[in-house]
Amino acid sequence: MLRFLFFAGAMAALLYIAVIYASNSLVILAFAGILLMAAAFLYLLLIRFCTRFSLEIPISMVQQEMPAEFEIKIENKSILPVVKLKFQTVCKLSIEKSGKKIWTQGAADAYGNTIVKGKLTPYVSGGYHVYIKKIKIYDLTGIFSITRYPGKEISRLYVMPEPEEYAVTVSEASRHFTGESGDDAELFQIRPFRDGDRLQSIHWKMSAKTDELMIRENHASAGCPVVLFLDFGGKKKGGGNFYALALSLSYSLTAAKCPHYVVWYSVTEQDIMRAKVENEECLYQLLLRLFDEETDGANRDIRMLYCEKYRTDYWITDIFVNQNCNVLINGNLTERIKEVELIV
Amino acid sequence: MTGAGRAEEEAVFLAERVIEEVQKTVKGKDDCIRAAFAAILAGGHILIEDVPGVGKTTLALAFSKAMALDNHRVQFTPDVLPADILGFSMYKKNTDTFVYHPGTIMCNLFLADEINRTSPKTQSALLEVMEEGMVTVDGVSRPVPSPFIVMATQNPKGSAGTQLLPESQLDRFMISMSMGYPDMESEIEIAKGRAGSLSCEEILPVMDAEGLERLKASVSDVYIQDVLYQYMAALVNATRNNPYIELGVSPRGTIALTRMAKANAFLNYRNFVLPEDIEEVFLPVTKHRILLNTKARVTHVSTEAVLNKLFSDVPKPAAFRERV
Repeated sequence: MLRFLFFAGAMAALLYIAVIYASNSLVILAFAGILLMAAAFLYLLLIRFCTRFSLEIPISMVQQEMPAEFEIKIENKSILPVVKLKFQTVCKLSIEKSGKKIWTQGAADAYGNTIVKGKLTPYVSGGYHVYIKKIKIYDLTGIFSITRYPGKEISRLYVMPEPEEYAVTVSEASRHFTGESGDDAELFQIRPFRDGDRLQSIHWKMSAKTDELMIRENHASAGCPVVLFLDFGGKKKGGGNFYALALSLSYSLTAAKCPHYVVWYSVTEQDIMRAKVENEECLYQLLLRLFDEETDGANRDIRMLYCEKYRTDYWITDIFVNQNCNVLINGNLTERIKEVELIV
Repeated sequence: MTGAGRAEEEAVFLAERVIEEVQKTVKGKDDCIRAAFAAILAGGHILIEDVPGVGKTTLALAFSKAMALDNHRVQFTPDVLPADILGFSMYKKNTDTFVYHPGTIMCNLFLADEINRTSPKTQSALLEVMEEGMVTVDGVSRPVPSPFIVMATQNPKGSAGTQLLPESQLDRFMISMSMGYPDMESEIEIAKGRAGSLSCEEILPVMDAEGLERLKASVSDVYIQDVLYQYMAALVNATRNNPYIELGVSPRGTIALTRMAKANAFLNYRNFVLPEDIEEVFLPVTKHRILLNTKARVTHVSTEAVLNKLFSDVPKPAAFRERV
């Protein structure tokens, strides 16, 4: 719009000079300029209302520091082509307020669909929101443009850290750990459905009442010999290294066939959360949940909060990881985690 | 037909007639019809993964009528036994011998509906026949009729009470496809009764089993350059080294890709294969043969997106790139 105003001002000045000097050629030039501006404005208005844009990420998961491709689909219902389009795409972590802006250029055929491809390379692992923030539509000369702000259609992108496998030895005590308590026939609790729960344990009556799938648990869930505490407190989420370390520890325990709980404090739920990790699928599903967890920077004793919530639980080994990537095993600081053998 | 004789031209014309006859009853699914017929010409079997009521049985009936093939259909349920499919031997008291009673598999076109609903034992009995072309009952092997085509259907993933075919057995199917819902115009025609099993009566047999065998022989004579063999091998190899794929395409898949590319070229009036033929058949041939890794599955990455990206990343043979 600034260019329109500047050009209009220039043409007005030209017209004024033409009148002062009684120059017909300058008058013609000024009117030609005004006509060009009007034609460009009408063209841009037509394109603005006849085009639809949508962003898609064909493969919504990439490894850390690998490029991710996105596609911007342009649906042009007008009979005129669009020679120049500029897209500002924003890629931000789901818990952050701002992110990286990427400009992509493209064009669109008349009365058809066009795809413009772009790439982004997030360096920090996490869950990202990708969306088009603004679109600049240029006229046929490329001089004038208007800016359009499409609705915030967010596409998700997951950047996965690459786990390292640490040396883990599972002790006999952990291998034969049961940790079960309670009578099988006794109703222990009714809780919301989680991925991996058996369909046969759905409590249909409660589910119908609450309009949410609920599970009937007949006894206390089997305990795990190892509990991995993730402390998000102290500062804003460290991102990459913290996730990579947490994932690597959990991955190593899974590879050693040691089921374990991962525990963290959820700011959204205002409560201690835990997830049981028995296989690789559980591990990555947990990681997706952690990507969406916000942090308020507050320091909390999550071990104490966990003990308060799960009083009957007991375990053999606890592993504590904080945002500074310090690892404490049963309260003892373990340095150079990659080089030591974890005995659980 | 480019570079071919009159006989080949007539063969392709005959193939087109079959497709036209099938199109009389299966509306709005031209791509599916061509893909299914290409698989038949390539000598393979077809897996259709789709919801009920989209025309899978109609497609099989239409093909069997157009090619005058003997057609049997079995609705698989959890209690279907291998003997129901393969047949059984029964003792005849008057002759004091065991007489073999053929099962439903003894036909040219076998439609196995909802194959994932039956037990693994019955699934493997059928799949063994598909692989070997022989039925073995009580130690005696008998060949199935020739040509022998299996069209199996499978419910979409996630349906309760089903046992999806394992990867090793999915590999035996030449292509996997989904028919999908028809478009608006076709839906109206179906509602008016101008499509479906009623209009199967209008289908005229264009050829017989022997004619189909001759067509298959013509397809196998289609020429493929060495660079295109290398290209297909590079594509298959890329599926084995992809960061999203746990299990890539097997050598059986490479053979299937070759045969389907030939069939596709044949239906496009050529007796030589181009990269475009490989591109058209790559997805249907490979998508049921690969297994995405845990990370990709958990983040709901689609198989089609991974294969499309993989295909675009593998460079086409240089000669064909210049020509394009």
